[in-house]
Amino acid sequence: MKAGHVVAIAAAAMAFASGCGGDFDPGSRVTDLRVLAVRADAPYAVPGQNVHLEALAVDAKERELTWAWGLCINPASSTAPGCVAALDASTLIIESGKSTFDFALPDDVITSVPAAAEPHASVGAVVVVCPGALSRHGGFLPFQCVDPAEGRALEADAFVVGVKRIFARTADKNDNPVIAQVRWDGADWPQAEVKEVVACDESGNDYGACTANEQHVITVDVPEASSESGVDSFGAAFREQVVVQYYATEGIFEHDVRLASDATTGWVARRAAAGRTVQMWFVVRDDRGGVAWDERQVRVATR
Amino acid sequence: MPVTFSSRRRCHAALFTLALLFAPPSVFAQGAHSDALVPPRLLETVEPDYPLQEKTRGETATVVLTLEIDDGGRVERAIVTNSGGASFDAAALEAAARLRFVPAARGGRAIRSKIPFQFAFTLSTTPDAGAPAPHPSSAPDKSAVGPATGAGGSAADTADTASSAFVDIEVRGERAPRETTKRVLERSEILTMPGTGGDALHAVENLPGVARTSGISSNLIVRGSGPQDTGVFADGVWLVNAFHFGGITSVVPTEVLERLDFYPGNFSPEYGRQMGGIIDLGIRSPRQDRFGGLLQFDLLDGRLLAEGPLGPKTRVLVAGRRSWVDAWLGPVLRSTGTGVSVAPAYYDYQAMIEHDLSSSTKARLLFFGADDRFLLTIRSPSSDDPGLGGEIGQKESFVRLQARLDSRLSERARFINMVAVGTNGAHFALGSNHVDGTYKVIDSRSDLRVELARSVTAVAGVALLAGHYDVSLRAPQRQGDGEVPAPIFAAPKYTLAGAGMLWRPGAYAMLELAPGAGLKLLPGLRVDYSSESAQWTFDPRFTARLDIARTPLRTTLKGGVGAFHQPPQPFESLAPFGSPSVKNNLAIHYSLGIEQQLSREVEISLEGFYKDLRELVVGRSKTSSALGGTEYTNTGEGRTFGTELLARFKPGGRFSGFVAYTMSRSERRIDASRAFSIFDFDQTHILNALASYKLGRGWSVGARFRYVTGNPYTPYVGAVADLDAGAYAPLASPFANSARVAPFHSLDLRVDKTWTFASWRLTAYLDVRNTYNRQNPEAMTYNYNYSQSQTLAGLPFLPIAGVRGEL
Repeated sequence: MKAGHVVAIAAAAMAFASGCGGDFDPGSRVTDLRVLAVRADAPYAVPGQNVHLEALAVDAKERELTWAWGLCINPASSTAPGCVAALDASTLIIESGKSTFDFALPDDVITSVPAAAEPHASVGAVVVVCPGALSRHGGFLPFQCVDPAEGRALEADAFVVGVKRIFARTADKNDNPVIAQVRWDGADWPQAEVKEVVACDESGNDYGACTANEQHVITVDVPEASSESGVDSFGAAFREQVVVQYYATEGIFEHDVRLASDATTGWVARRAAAGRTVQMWFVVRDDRGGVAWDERQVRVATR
Repeated sequence: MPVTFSSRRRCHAALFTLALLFAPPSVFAQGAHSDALVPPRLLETVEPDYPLQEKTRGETATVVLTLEIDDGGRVERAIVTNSGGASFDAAALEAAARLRFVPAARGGRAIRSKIPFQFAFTLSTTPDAGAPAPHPSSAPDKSAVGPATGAGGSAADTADTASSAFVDIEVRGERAPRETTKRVLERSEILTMPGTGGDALHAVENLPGVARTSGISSNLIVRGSGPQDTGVFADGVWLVNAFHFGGITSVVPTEVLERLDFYPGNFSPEYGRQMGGIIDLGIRSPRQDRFGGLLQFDLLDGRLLAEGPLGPKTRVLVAGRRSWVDAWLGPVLRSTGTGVSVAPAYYDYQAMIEHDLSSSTKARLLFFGADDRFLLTIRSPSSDDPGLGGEIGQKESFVRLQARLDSRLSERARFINMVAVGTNGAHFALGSNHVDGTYKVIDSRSDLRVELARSVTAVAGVALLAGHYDVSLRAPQRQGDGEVPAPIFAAPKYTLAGAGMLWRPGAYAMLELAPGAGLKLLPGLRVDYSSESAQWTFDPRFTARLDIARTPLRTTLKGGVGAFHQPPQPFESLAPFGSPSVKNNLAIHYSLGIEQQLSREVEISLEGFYKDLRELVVGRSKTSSALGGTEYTNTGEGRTFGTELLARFKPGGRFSGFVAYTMSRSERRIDASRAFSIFDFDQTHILNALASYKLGRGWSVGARFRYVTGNPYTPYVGAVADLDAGAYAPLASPFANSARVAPFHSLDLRVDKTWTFASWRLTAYLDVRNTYNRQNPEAMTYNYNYSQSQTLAGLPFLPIAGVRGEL
C-alpha cells in the first residue's frame, strides 16, 4: 500500500466522517426496503456444518416481500459482487417471506482449494429481497423484481441484493458480538420502553441546527470481550475491530457509525417525524463477519 | 524543448555585487576623501556566443581578460591574459568589446581604468544523470596590471584596479540533448511559479505531456503512463517515494537542487527499468565563494539551509525542513472528535561535503533523507465503509548516504562513479489492517564517456540496484484490474510475510555520432536483469537530431524510437504477495518533432508521440487459488498517442513564461480479447499558460492558467449490499471510463517582493490558488447504495503566504 494510498484513504475517511461526501440523505435513514444485516449462528463453520442465517429486513412501505437465497462456493473474488457473479444457480431458492435460510457447508469446501488458499475458503450466501415477483434474469444484477401492481420491472435500487460470508475453518471459532445495554441520555433504555421526544424544526440533515433540548444521546454498550483477539490456526494474529451502525426510519444521527469502544451518538427528530413513531436499529459488527442487533422505538410529539 | 534547470542568463548584477563585497573597503570610500577612487561598475553586460564546436564537444573554459576602459565606460582594448582556447578567446573578446561600464572615477571625475575580467564558459546540461553542472571557478589569482595609457590620457588619469576583485561573468551554453526531448526548469523559475509552492516536482506538471493530478497527489502521469511508470531520481539515486505524504511537497527541496531534467519519453539508455518518463533532480554544489544560508517559513513548513567553503577546495551544505501543519491541524482534528496521537508531520534533511581532489576530479559525500508520520483514531468511521476508521497511521522514511567521484580523465574522457546505501522503512495501519516493510538498498552507477574522434563519442556504464526487503502485512486482497473497490471492513484478510534479496544489475552503451553538420545520431542499448522476474531484457534505442538551420535562428528536426522494459511492482511478483512467474512490462516509444527558435528568447517545440504498451502486468482476483488472493499475468496491452506543443519565452530578463499544450489519448485493455477502453488517467486536452514579470524594485508577479479535460470515470449501474460491512459495493458499467467529469480550469496568481540589504535578502510572497474559486469537479461521490451521484469539488480558493531570508 503506497504512501499516497494511505494518505488518500485517511483523507477520505476524515472527509466522510465530517460529512463531506455529498448532499445526500444519510444511509442511516431507512425510508424504503433495506436489509440491514444477516446474522449467522456460526460466522466460522466447519465443512459439513449446518449454518442458520437470519436477516434483518425493513420495508418502510410494509409490502409483502419475496426472498431468494443462494450460495457461491469459494468465489474468485472476495467482494460481494464477486460472489453474486459466482452464484451457483443450483442452490437458489425463491420463496415469499423467507427471512431465514439454512444450509450446510460443502464437505470439500476446504479440501477443494490449494493449501495456500485454505485460510480463505468460504461460502457466500446471496440474499435477494424483492417487494414483488422475483425471478432470475440477465444483466448487471442477475435478478429481476417486478412490481405486482404495475407489472413492470423495478429499478435496481428498489430491491436488495446482498451477500453474507461464512468462512470455512476446522479449528477456529468466531462468536457474534453482543449488545449488553442500550442507553438513552445516559440511562438504561429497555427494549419495551418507547421514548417521547419533541421534534427539531429542521427539514434537512443538519444535526447541529437543533437545540440541546432536542438532541438526545444514544449509547450502545458492547462488552470489550466482543472484540476477539488471538492467533488463528494458520498462525495469523488478529484483533477484531467492532463498530456500531445506527439506523432509524426518521431523524438525524450525529454519527451514523461509531467504534464499539465509544459507541455514543446523538439523535434528533426532524420536523417530518412529528406525530410519528420512529423505529431504530443498532447493528454491531465485527470485521470477521460477526453481527448482532437490537431495536427501539421513539414517539415524536405532534408540533 | 529542453528547459534546463541551470540558468542561461544569470543576473550579472548579483555577481558584480558579490565581487564588490570582496573588494577592500577603501575602494568604496566615496566622498570621504577628495581623491577617493571609485572603480568602474558594469552597466550593460553582454553574453558571448558559446562556440558551437566546443559546445558540441562538451568543452568548457575560463577566459581571463584585462580590459582597458575609457572615461566614457566603453572598452577600448581587451587583452587575453589567461587563454581558454582560441575559439573561447575569440568569443570572449568579441563580447568584451560590447560591454558597457560606469567609468571609474577619482574625486568625482571619470577616468580611464584597467581591470581584470573573466568569462566562464560552462555547460548547463551534464552528460549523465545527477552530475551537477560545473560551478564557476573561484576568483583566479589577481595579477598586477599596469596603468592604462592611451590617447588623450595620462597615467595619472587612470586607475590601476588590480586590487579589486575580478568581474566574473558566467556563460552557460546548452548542450544539445542526447534524448529526443529533454525539458529543464530553472530554479528561479520554479521558486516563483504560481500554484506550485515553489516545488520542483509539482512544477513538472506544467510541462507538456504531464497530466494534472487532483488535490494532493504523488501521481506523475507522463504521456498517458501509469503513475508507477515514471521514475524520479536525485543525483542518480532512485527515490521510491518522491513526495511527502503522497503529494504535498517533494522530499528534496528546491533550494538544494541545481537542475531538474525531465524526459517525457524516448530517454537515453543511461536510464532503465522505467517505461514512462524520467525526472532527474540534480543536487547542486555548495557555494564556494562564501558562507550563505536560507531561512523560509510558509503555511506548511519551515526550512533552514547553510552552506559555504571550508578552504579553497572544500565546501559544505547542511539543510533541513520540517512541517508545522501538525501545530494547527492537530487541534482542528481533535475538534472534530478525531483522536490525534501523532499529528501529521514531515521533515527532510540534506548534508553534503564536496572536495576538489584535483583540478580534474571532484568528490562528494551526500547524506539525505525524509520522514513522514501520523497516527489518528477516527472514532466515527465512514458509513460507506466502516473499515475507514479506527486507528489510521503511517510512518514512512528513507535515508541515503551517497559517495560520488567525478573525474575528467583527459580532455576527451570523463568517468563518474556513484554509490549510495541506505534504507527505506514503511508502516501503514488502517483499522485492523497493516503493512510493514523495510528495504535496505545499494544503488550504484559507473559511467564513462570518451570522445573517440571528433565526431564520435562513446558512452558506457554499469548500474546496480540491489537490496534486502522484509515485508509483512495483514490486509484485504488487492483488487484485480478493472474491479471496483469494495468495502474493506469485513473483507477476508491476508496475513502474509516475505523477505529476500532483489537484484537489478544493468549496463548500457551509446554512441554519439556527428557525421555531418548539424546531424547527430545516437544509437544505444540498455541491458537489465531483474531477479524478481528472473528476466534479462534488451532495450535498443535510437535518437536523431538534425539542425536544418542554425543561423540566425535554429531549426531542429528530432525523432526517436526505443524499447523500455519495466520490472513488475514488488507486490505483483514477489511471493507470497504476487505471482513469481510474471515478467517485465514493455513499452515501445516513437516520437517525431521539430524545434524552432523564433528569437534568442523565444522557442517553439512541437512533437508527436506514440507508445505501444505490451505484456503489461494485470491482476485478477483468485482468492481460491492465489496465495495473496490476486494472480498476476502479462496479458495487458495499451497504447498512447498525442501531440505536445511548448512555446517558451526563456527566463533571464524581466519576462518569462511558456504555454504548454498536450492533446493525447491513452487506452488499455486487460487482454487481447477485449476492446480498448480509456485509461484511468487519460486527459485529452491539457493547457498550461504561465507568465512571470519582474516589475522592478524587487517586485515580481506571476500567473498560471490551466485548462484540462475532466477525469474519466466508470459509471455505476447498481450495487450489492455487503452484509458483513453494512455497506454497499458498487457494480461498474462494463464500459470502463466511459464518462468524464466536467473540465478543470483555474487561475493561480503569485506576487513576490524582495528587499535587498547589504548582506542579505528578504522575500515575502503570496501564492493564491484557484483565484476565482471555481468548484472544479475532481471525482464522483455517491449516496449509500450508489443510486444517486454528484461531483466532488477540489481545492477552493487557497492563499498561501511565506517569507524567505537569504544570506
